[in-house]
Amino acid sequence: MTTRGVVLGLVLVLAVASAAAAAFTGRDVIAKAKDARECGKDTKSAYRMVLTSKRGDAVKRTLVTYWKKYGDDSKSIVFFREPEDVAGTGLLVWSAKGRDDDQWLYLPDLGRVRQINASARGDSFMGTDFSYADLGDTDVDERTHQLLGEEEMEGQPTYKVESVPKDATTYSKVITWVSRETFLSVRVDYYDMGGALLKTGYFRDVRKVKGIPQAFAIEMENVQTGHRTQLSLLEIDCDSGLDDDLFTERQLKRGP
Amino acid sequence: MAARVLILALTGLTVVRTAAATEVRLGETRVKLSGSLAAWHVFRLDPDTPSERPSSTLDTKLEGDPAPHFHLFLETRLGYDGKIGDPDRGNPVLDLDEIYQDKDLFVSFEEAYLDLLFRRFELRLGKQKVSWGRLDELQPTDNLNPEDLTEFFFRPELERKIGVPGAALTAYLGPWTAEAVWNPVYTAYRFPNREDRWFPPLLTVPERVATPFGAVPVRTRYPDVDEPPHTLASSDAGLRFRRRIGSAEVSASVFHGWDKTATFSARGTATVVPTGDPAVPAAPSIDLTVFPTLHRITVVGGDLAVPVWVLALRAEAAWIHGRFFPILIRDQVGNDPRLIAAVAEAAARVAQSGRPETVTLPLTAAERRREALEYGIGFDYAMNEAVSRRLTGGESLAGSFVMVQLIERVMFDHDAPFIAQSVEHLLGLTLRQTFRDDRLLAEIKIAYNPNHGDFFLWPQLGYKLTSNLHALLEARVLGGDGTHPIGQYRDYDGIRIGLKRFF
Repeated sequence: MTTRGVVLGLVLVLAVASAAAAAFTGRDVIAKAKDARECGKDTKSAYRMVLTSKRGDAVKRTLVTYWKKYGDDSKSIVFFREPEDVAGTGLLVWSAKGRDDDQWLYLPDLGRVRQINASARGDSFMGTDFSYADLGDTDVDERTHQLLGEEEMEGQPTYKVESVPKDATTYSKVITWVSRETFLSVRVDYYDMGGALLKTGYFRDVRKVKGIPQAFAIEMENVQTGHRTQLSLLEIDCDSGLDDDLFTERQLKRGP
Repeated sequence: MAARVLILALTGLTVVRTAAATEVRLGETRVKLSGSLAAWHVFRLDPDTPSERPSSTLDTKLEGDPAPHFHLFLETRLGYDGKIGDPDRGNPVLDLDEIYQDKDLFVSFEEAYLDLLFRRFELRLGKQKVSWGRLDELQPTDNLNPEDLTEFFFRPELERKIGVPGAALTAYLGPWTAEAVWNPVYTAYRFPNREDRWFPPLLTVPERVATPFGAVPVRTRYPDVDEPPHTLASSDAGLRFRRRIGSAEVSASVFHGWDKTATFSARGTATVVPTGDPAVPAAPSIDLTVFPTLHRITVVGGDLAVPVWVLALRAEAAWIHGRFFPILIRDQVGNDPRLIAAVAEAAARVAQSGRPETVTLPLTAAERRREALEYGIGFDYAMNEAVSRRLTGGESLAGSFVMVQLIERVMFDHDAPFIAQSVEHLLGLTLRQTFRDDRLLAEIKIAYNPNHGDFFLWPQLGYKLTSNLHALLEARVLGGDGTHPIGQYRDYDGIRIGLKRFF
């Protein structure tokens, strides 16, 4: 093969590769990012959560979460383990497509499970800088997505996608940097209804769990209030065959 | 003694910095020890009301999974109860069958049970607290556990419940859940002693009453309840069925057993002695016994919880058969013509014979049985960020919790001077908000009875000095009609401060 042939071949390969990349739409990237986040059909994970105020006051919590997919629907249950004054508190959520979540709260001091009105999906999850929507299942088609191009972010090549909610109530837009290698989010910027940057999330320390990349360190900072939430993933297990009985009121009372 | 206990408790609260819950795992076996140490004092605002000394408690919870399908739980409480006015320093373990507990240094086994956990059923054996019903604080269908009323209602609901030895079987039958509870032995509710701060003024008989014979001394005794025999007929049993229908959860239940509400009756004698004074030949004195009464009731009811729009709606209702309702007899002793006539006749005989005589007083029944219906409805609302922004421009009110509730009790055949009216209303309101990343919790509970203008306000502030050390400040404000259950405490306002350390 001549040098000219090699160069032509390389150019051809690059052109094909480029074409393939360019064939990704914003929606494709976000859909692949959503698939990449899912650690199987069910997940058990434990987190340490540190909430730090602008003043530097820090509150630490440890929690265990279980999640299971049921087609388009899902169920999840969260238990707080530390500190001791909230240990045993649990939240059970049944999410179904097209309707409000069913939620139950168990407070050990009350001794009974309380059905609660579903928190608005844009609301803060348990006082953190994450919303229920940030942490839960979102329908890709709830937003329109535009691929803005490719950038390096946190030392990684990423796709940059702007997503605009079709029915905006909390964010006017969301910009996501998605790793071209793992399709995990590397950074997400959320903009408030006035168009100002509200909060920024970073997803770091990616490791593989059963071959699926997972971010073991997640940080969300509310740039307007200076408040920060750090989530450290302590353990995670995917597709372990979680029992349906785990997502019930009786389990909420029993604890993890 | 009180000062020593308080110093010890405060030392433990502030000096022990690194204590944390201990959890040990050995293969499948898991054991966890946790608990809390608390100390507090109540400052009365009216010096004419009974005072109390500082109090302290050490709660420990030991739980473990010794084997698959088994779960053990033991909660003990050791403490110094500053409310006890005249303490008995004998055996410190609280007695299950005594209404009046006079142990200031005490040990209580709050719960001690073994769970057998299987897929389709669970069995809990031992001393336990069962929570039925959906309303807050007062549930018409929740009759399995008596309550500790030594501090009125100024304690969290679950802490007021007294664990009862029994067996609880829960079966999961498809969409249905069935619960059957059997408590074989009688367990008493707890009531303040005569010398304690929260002893009801309505039960207090004056030491002297004005009569046509002049001021007559009255000696009143408050003996404990006669414990019923340990028979099947003396046990409590309850059955409850629950299921989910759409987004609603409904249940129906039936209970038969001891009524856990505090009811009392009275008996008395008058002793007339000759004085030797021709002007006043006989002098009477009265001995009164006010004693707790026990009654068997049957309660049939149900409850419902369903999210509606942005609210969580809860409702509950129960028919109560066999309950006794109190009649106000406090003022009878000096005024009832039948009592006066009985004493006058005895005085005449004593004056004649010169020998003392004791006669039984024909006291009116202090309680009567009536059929009753209790029902209530409440809703919860947790404010979301969007609404907070609309109201305040920011998210400061996001997460605020509001609970509003109305409970009514209908007494049928209201044909005697009952303390309660034929329909009694109780409105409840709870507001809760946290600040500074949940470091500061502010809550206020309000109850109002429009029948009599009775109310209480219970604002509470809790601040997390560290994640495991909380400071507590609360106020207790009561008002209303002095002849009714809440209003009788209208002079008992107070401020409570305390510290609590979790481990």
